[in-house]
Amino acid sequence: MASIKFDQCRACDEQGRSGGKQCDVCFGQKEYFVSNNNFLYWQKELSYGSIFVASFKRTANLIINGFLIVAVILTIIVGYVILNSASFDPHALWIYLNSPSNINFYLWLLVLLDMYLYYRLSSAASRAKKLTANLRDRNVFVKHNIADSLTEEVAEILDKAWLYAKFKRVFPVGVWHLLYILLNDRDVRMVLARLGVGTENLRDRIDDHLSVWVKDEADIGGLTKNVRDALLNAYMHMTERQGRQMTEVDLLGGLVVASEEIKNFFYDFSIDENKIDNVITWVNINKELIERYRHFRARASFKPKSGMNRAYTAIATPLLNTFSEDLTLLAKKGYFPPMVARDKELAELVTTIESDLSSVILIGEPGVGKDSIVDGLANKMMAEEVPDLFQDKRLVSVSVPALISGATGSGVLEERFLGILRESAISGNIILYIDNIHHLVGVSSDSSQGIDLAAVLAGEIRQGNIIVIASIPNKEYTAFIEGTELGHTLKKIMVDEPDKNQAIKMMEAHVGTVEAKHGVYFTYDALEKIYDLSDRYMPDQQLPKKAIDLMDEVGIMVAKTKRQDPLVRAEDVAVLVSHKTNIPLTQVTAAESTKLLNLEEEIHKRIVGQDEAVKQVATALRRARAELRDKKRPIANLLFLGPTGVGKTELAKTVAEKYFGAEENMIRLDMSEYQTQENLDRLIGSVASGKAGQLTEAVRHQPFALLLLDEIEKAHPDILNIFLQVMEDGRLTDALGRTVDFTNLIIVATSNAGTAYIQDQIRAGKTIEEFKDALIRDEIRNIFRPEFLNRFDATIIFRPLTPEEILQITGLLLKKVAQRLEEKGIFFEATEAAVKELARAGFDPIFGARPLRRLVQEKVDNSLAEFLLKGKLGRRDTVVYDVGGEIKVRKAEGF
Amino acid sequence: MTQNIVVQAFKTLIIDLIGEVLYFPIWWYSAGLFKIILFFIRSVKNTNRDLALGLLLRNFFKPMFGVQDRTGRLISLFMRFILVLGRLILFLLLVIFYLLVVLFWVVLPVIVAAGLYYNFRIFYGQYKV
Repeated sequence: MASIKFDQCRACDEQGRSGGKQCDVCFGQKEYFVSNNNFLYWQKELSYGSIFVASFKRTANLIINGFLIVAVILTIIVGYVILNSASFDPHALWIYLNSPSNINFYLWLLVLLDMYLYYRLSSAASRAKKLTANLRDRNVFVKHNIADSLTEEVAEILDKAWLYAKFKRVFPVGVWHLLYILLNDRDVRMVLARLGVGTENLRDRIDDHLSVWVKDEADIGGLTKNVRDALLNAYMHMTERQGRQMTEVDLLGGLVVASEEIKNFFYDFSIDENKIDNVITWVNINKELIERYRHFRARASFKPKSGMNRAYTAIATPLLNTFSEDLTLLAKKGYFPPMVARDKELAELVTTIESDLSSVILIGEPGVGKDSIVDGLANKMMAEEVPDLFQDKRLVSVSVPALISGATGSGVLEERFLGILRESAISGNIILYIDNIHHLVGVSSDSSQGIDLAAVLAGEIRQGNIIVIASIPNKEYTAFIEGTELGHTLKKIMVDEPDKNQAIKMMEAHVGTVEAKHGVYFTYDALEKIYDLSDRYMPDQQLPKKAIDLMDEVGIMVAKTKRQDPLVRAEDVAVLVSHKTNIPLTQVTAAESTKLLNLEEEIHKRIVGQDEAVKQVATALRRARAELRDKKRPIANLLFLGPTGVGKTELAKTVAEKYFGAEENMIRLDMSEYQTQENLDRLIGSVASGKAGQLTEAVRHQPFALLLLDEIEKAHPDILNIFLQVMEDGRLTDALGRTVDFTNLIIVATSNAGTAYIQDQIRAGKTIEEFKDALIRDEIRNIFRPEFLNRFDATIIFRPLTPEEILQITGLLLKKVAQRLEEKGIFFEATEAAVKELARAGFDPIFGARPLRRLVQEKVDNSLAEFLLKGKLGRRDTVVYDVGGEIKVRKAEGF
Repeated sequence: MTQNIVVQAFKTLIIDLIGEVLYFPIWWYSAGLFKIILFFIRSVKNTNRDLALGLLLRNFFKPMFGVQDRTGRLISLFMRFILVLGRLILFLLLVIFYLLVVLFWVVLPVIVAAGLYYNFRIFYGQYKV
């Protein structure tokens, strides 16, 4: 909601009078706001006197009403006394009433007072109603004082804010005074609790800083301009939610919208006016749901309990009853909660059926809420708040598994099914609901001539005998129903995943159950986070079900922690989803932030040298962790260029370990296996074979991982085009029509292209920076197209290893040997000369450090294995590896 | 000053109260009457719906329980006649009751006024028993 302000009257220069009389423009109010043909102004006196008068009036009103209520009770007593005197005989009573007496007089007096009480209560309500109607009517001009629209609580809050200003001797009453008092209000505290903020600290802070924060400024009626504007905004807030009186929560909304200071104050707690609005909507949704539930319960008593309709035209349906469930009856018993945010689909369903008595099919993925639409219809049918066609009818859900099970003999199944359809048709008051209708396709008993139940049903529907509502997931519709006889008879209604707003509404409607079940309390941020994370990281399930399931799990998780405040915060949701997906999603903690800032060092524990490469990768990861990346593309697309055996794959593994938690979270494709165009089928699957693709399947099952494309230069250009799309859009549709999400992958492509050039340049003493551009521009241009290279966030060049680095790598490899031996309780050492000898022998100018691993295996591991097998080694012995593969043992001494 | 405030508070309160009392009879026969008439209309509608009278009349000649033979139809017609008659009587009774409520609203002030007037005289001794 945009902030609005009172217009200051220019005609009278804010004096209220011009030319010696009341200003014609502002009616003497100095400032005003015109909206919807209403002239709005603020006029409320704030003084000891007015506050006394107001509270005096409130008390007097209470006393008068209390007095009148006593009169009602007395009426009952006097009535009883009179009836008793007349011995409860009508004739005697008549005589009694006709003979004047003082008790009769009191009776009539009391009746008069009762009438007066009724008048007092209901006329106030209808006056307010009329005023609201006039204010809402664009054709009626109303001069309205916003102060007349306050609830008593808000009026009192204003009075208290003024008294607080007096007490603190800080004048005029500003937004901080008002907020201080407002924070003590129950409703406001509840809203802020939903936003995860306790109010006590806030109040103390305001109280301490009041004199500093409140600036000396002009006022009208003791209120600063800011406060008056806040009241105007609060009024608008009230009209927007169709309210009749300004509540405390409206005032909170108004304050946040109107005052920059308050906005910033709350912004520190990550609360903005939108969030406040959303919480208010949440509270209202719950009120509305309770009302609707009560309404349905009230209507339930008029629906017949049996399957008989109220026109007595139906027949008994014993066969149908065996294999089905009466949804309208369940609705009568109150089984179905009110449907939320699916009114559009329900209306479409009703009008489609109504338009030409057609049957419909609801198409949507499991979990999007097809059933809840049908339950919503059952509720409405039960309450008879549906068009004539649905009136006085039953909605019956047929269970296909129950129907099929036990139908063994020839033709038994068809007989059963036809029997059910016949009963429904004759009864005439039945609408059938068949969930997962594809289960009927291809089902027939043994010896029938290939006519399946779907065809039987299609025939009955076409003849107009019955109305059917069916439901089916998208894929099954395409596979089993589309284009078939049954498909032609059913009209399609698509049920899509709800959008954010709808999904959150559905969650809000459900959250009460979860809260009651686990004894926890959800903040609004938590709900929003549940939506965001489930939407982003659970691509294989559907909203709202996945969000509601996640909500339940978070509820259990928080309940189990048994912490002091069982408040479910956004952070709890992040922890759970992180745990499920292995992706770091929680707020970066201090420890982790140190780790991230020193990521280079962490990586260097595994990678020797390649400083530029490590730095670029670390930067990309930090960017991803700080959520600064584009969420519609993969986390990072990196191209590793360089000679073989210099650590490209090792770095990729390290990234998988550091970002996704384990080295195993890596999908590795050797692109040399995809050299021809035909290999494309293997990558993304093919319709002909019905096989899923290797790439798409792997990513579908492991959407949070590092995708390593080894030797990318060897792949066919058409295959590279596929990756072009993946890197740009973050998704790929496989041959079977499934869209696979790539936005949670780090894609690393490695290549040896330009190796000779890199080696030449390094030998010539150039740094990578100096020849990098030339390498990309000239050397690998023939291998990769420019648009392909452009898709990478970074092209990272690895240089050949130096002898010193080889030495370090040898050290690392030997350390691994030592680790393996330590598990057996044996210590391992290598002499310096031996390490040098291994490094020299293992280095190869063409294969880099790769031969080294083999060498260590051959020389060290083999000799050790022999030693171990001969039983020459005991626990706690130290093995020393020396030049020429000689192995010495230092026996353990002492304890 | 404090005394002033109390006086002022009393004044506004008394003025409000007098206005309120004076408006009472006017309200009774204008907005109040309107309210009670609305109640009457709503009640008749709801009763009609709850008794399903319209529905029964529309299906008057349809056989009950899907029994299509001649005897069944005859019995149905008879049963429906009884049903409709019974519910019609109930409906009429309820409507009369709602009408009585409206009537009661209209005459209540008169009855109360008369009651007060006749019984008030007792305080002057004419009718002392």
